[in-house]
Amino acid sequence: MTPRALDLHRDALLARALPDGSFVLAPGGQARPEATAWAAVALHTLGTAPEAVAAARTALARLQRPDGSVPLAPECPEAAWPTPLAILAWLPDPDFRGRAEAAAAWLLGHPGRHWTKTPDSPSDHDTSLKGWPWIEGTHSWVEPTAQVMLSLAALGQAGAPELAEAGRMLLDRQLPAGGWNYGNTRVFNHELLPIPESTGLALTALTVLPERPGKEVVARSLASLAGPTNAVATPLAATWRAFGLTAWEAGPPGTLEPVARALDRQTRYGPYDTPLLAQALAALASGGRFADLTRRA
Amino acid sequence: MPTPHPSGLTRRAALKLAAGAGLALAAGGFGCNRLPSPEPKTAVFVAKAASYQADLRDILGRGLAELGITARDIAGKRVLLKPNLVEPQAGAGHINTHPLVIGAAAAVFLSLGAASVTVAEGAGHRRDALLVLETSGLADVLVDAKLPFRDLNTGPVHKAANLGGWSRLGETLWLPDALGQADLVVSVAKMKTHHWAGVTLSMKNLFGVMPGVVYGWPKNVLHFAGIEPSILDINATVRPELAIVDGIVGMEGDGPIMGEPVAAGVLVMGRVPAAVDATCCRIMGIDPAAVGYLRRADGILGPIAAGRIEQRGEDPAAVRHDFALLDFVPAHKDLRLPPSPG
Repeated sequence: MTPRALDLHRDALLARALPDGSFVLAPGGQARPEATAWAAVALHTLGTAPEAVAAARTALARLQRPDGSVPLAPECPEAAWPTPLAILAWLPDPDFRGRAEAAAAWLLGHPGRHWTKTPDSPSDHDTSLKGWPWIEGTHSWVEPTAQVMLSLAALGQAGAPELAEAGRMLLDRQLPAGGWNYGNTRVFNHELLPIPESTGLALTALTVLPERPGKEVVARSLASLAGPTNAVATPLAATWRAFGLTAWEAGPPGTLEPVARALDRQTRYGPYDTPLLAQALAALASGGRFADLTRRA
Repeated sequence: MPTPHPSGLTRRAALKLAAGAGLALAAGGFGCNRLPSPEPKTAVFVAKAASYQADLRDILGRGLAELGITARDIAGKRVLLKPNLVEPQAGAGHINTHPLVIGAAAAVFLSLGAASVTVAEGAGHRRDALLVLETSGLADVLVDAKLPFRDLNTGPVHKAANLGGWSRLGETLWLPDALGQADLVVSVAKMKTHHWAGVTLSMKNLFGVMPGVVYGWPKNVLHFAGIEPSILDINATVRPELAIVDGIVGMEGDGPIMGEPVAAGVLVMGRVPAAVDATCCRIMGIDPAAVGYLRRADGILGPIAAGRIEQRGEDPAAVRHDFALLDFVPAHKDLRLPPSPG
């Protein structure tokens, strides 16, 4: 992608900022925390518009509840899945360190709902291994667990025992044939199918563990994700494929190319929602290196 | 302690449901199907379609005519088609509503003067909605027909009173704004067995309207609130005006994703989803009264008894094709409909 094309996408993202610093979910729409968080991350990674980034961080701070969580909406506190995204947005600025730590403390105290697996369980995975849920009070799933691992590790808490268990949970949910889906492996003895964005997120998150699993443990997943079937040019899948493969230094030449193509395909689909646009821009701006998203300027 | 209704609905919830339906009745037109009275019978249309190369637009057009739906009912209306795109896989067309069925439905509504047709879905397991569209083959249909798509998982949401009361979801549900912006919601479902609910047809298909941003991926909040009671609450609240079920190639066995394709060769449609689903069950060789949520819906969200449904088009018994059920799946236990006499 040419610098000029990248600038156009950046400008489209910036145009979604509201006067209060938050970002709309889609052009002409209303603000949403995940849009604000991903926009702040992307613009910071691009090294541009520091005022907009600071305003977005402040907007997120206004959404933080006294308990530290950052919910989708005040009327829906159980949908606290934007909390790790807010941490990523806040992290590069020391002024927001306290808020990030409060959010992390809330996350550590609010894992998913777990139970001991019974012999007659139709699901194959170990239901006792804790990670994080999308919605408070429900089971842990792959993507929210990976997002929390990435945010806590960026905050310097990679050694927390909760992350070690979450890493074991992710490995337990890895499909025998390679890859991850939302978080079920076999149900009624049928092995389920992988999803590229889930696979990329899980692979990225596993690299933050101090005792990172060996490459052989995820070799099938890497091979599957690197293959042509998963080199798709839709924004979420392409973005997380790039992050996942780059984290393991397993990306074939042109790993970022589907991300660039995905951005161009707004001519086919219409303008992307802000989180999709921002995540793709962040992937391109960082060269697919997730750790660069939260580096201080 | 709430007074239980025989259906499992609390008395308060039954009153809410009746009140909501009363408003719909007052609105007239399509709304008249919203709380079927004991009489008269509810019409369900069954058509044979040997393959997706059949003239689906003609079949669906005939179906609407059989159901008494005319251009006067559709003209100027904003139509929302809700397909089943739970988890597409390349080459596995039996998982999802076929794109050609969706395209044909859109063409029929537009030909009847619909102001717009939007396709909208909140896929059960997938967050990359565009990849879902591409993998399912629907993207090309949407682009060719210039049909807009709304991702119900991530779009704007609002609270609505829960007009059911069966589940533990509480007094309110979070629904996508896109539903409220439509005049006509059509559940365009797939004919499948389901390893948790027995069958997934037009009523279960409405799980996909529940936004992932509030209910998760998978929509685990609904699982903890009870799958079958949640189906009832969502249907009581959303009340789609029409149901179309793609049974040209359905899924048997370990549905809704890992089952096997089965060429049932039918399209089924009607104004009352419970009656449509009951008819689909009979075609699948399944007793609708043995499906928990259909039994509980009976008489409240629509009739399921054969005697209360006026079958138009093909006789369900004549196109019956028993879908395989699995003896190790508890939700499939005792579902089989006895063989038709004669």
